[in-house]
Amino acid sequence: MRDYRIDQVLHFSLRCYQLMGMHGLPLPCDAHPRRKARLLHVWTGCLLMGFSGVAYMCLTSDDEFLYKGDDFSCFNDAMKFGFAEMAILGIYWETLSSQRAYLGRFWQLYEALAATQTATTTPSGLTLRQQLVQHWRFLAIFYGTFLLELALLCVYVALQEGSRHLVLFWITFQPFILVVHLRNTQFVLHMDLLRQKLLQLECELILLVEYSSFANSSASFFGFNEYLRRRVREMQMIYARIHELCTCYRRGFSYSMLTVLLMIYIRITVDCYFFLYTKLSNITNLDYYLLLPAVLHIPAFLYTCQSFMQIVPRIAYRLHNIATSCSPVSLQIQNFSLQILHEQMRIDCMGIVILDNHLLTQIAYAVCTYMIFTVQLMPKLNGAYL
Amino acid sequence: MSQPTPIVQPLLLQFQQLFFLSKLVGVLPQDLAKFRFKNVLEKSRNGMIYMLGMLMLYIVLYNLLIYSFGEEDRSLKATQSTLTFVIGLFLTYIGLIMMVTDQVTALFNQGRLGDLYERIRVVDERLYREQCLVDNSTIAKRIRIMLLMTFVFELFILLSTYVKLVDYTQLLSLLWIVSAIPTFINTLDKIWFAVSLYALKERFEAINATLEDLVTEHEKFLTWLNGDDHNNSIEDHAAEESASQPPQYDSNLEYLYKELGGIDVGSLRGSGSKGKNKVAPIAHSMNSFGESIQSPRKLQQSNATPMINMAHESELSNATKVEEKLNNLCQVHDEICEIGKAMNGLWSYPILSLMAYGFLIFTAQLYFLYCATRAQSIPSLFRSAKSPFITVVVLIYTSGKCIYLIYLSWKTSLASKRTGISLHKCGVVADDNLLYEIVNHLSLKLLNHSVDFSACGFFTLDMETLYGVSGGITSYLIILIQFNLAAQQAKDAINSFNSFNDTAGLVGAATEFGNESSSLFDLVTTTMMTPLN
Repeated sequence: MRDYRIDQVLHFSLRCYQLMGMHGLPLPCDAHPRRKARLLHVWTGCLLMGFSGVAYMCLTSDDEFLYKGDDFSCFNDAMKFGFAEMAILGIYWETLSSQRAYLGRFWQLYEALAATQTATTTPSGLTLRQQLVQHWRFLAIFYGTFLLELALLCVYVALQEGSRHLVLFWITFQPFILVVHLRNTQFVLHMDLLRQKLLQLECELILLVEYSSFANSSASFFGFNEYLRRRVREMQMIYARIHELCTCYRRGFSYSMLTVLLMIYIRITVDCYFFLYTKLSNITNLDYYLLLPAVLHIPAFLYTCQSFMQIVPRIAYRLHNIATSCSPVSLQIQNFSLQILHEQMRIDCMGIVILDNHLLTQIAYAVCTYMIFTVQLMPKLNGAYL
Repeated sequence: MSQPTPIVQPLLLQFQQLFFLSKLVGVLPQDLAKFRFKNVLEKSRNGMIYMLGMLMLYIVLYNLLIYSFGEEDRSLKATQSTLTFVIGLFLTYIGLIMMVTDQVTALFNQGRLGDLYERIRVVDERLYREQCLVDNSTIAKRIRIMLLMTFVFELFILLSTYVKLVDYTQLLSLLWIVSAIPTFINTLDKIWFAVSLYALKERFEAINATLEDLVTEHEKFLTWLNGDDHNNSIEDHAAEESASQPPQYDSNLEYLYKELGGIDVGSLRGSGSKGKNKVAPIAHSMNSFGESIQSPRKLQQSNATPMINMAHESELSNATKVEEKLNNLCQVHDEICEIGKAMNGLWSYPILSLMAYGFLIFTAQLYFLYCATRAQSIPSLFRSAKSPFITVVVLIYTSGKCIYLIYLSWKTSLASKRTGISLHKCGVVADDNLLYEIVNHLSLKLLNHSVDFSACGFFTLDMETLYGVSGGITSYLIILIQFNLAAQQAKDAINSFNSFNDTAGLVGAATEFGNESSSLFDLVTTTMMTPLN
């Protein structure tokens, strides 16, 4: 937990997450790691209390934090707050408890892997430019969605004539959204690091495949088979570490992955419905454009997960491309292949659902179904029956 | 404990309280005396008769309950919406069906249940012989906690409903106590399943821990092996780096070796004799050969060193010795998987009925809660839905039971799959051809022997089922609420229509329609009446 080095981009991002109370570990350059960790925990506790207090106030107050016009809207607003509070609880509870062990292990392993895999370059590490290129996916998602969110918010504040309900609702609810979205980018960051590691392993395997085919077709050397065997074994070890990294990630973030996705999903469903409803009843309300970042966040995360999981079959394919006639090498390859079968890289939130693009279709399908149900309900919502 | 050779404590020793309670309320028919003195579950005719008697009693009492409380329903039928009435009717007996399934299955399985625990005892003995200890002491604690929670939930639901929602001035209202019996019996039965499953999971975890221990032991052994000539290794490393051609691969691999526990550093250093390095003059492949070649001789050397001064010992360095151990562990693993499947078979119908119950009751309770908040009348057996707080407790209790079983099955399945991972770790860390062959063989075996729990094959008991079920509940709830809305609107429409027209005949006709309202008719009227509204 104490001893890991990371590059500047990661350093800066992790500082951001620390500031939001989502990364409860001290960074390597911190002078007093213990004190820092304690401070971070106190800060996280404060944030948790603050958010819970706001949620409680909104749910119980008589003021127009929730739309009081009709029961159905009020129920939906309350549901949004309820799920947001669940997400917040999940996020901060994880920072305070399980993350210490799992995330600490994650960064330790990450450092160990980085040391073994990137020692080829200059010892001082990558230049800033290289780092930016390396993490471009995460950076694009992080800054893209964040800036989009800010821009939309500014436009909204400028254009929407505010009622008391809108002002109160957005002032209280927007911080929840920000935290949840930031957490989502944190998932993306970790997933992207995992993906990079696996990709690197694949590249090394490709290199090995080329060597082996060359040795097989043109000329072989004394001891080449032994070398090949050892390289395969090293890769097995790296693969095992990446698997452990993946397990750490899954355990460290299991609850919050579930609650964050659930909160964004509920918000999309509810807001889509009300978007149609307000259009139908000619109410000018612009706040549904604020949904756009939320809509982007789910695919961004799921796509990152999917692109990580898709590398594994490719690795198995490369592995079996290694041409050899030597029995110890083929035994080693068999062993690696079986190991891949056992150590599946599967990102799921608590086993409930695999996070890949299939889930995206399922979500789209579910939103459409609920939309049809509730749109059918629309003409009946005169307030008299609900 | 009175057995001649008590190598391991039988698992059933921890089940004593649970068994006595189950015996008393008629969940299990097995012999009480034999259990008390020998800790075995054996068939018993008296137990069977007692249990059948209890079953009959429960059925009679429950029917009495339904009859006496159904009185209100019949008078309320006119005001209830058809949908609510039908759902109430449909779900009246579901609790009873669940209880009967549990008890009848227990009767049929009374012989096989004992065998199951006997098999677990044999497994424990085999594990003990492999120095793989399983701690059973937490199980008694778990049982106690589960029993306590069952009592708390049942009593809370029963008492709060009785005090708040039942008219307790009448003597007949005491029958309400019977309403708690089915769920209580069901929970007791499920505690047996859950705790046994947990015991299996612990056994899988014990195997995994043993394998992991082998790995860490071997890693320690290797670091110790390389530790004493560490200084030399650094010097040689420097020399080698200057000599060998591509610096990138070299330093890379050196680092890797150190990182991964210094496995080959010794041999690397040994083969630092440069001449060997420059094998082939082909430019391309030189890159791949940047690092030195390990000769088989070195391996033997590293194996020979510990024989001189044995400070650390690792079983993994001796492939033939470890072969037996790994084989045994895998066989035990298979046996536990088989026990898991057998256990799942014994409880498959009860679990299916529990899941069906959970799904239906969860949906119905929420729907009735909605009805109650709209001030509509609901079936009297589901009167707990009138209070949101009691509803929440009921929902937590029901869903808690289902989710805990699903979660535990999933965890057990995961633990059984982890064994393969640990096995491969053993293979890779030892790096021995003979061991690789063993590991490959066993790994295939483990792949073919995975344990997955299912309810009669209708669905698997893992977390993915939860996703489907929660989706189902939400959809049904929305549909039900929509129908309910439509029916209510139709009723109101008819009422307002009536107040507009004072014509006596129309009033009579409409009320008649209203009384025997079918939901289809209501829907039709809604569409017809809406413009008037």
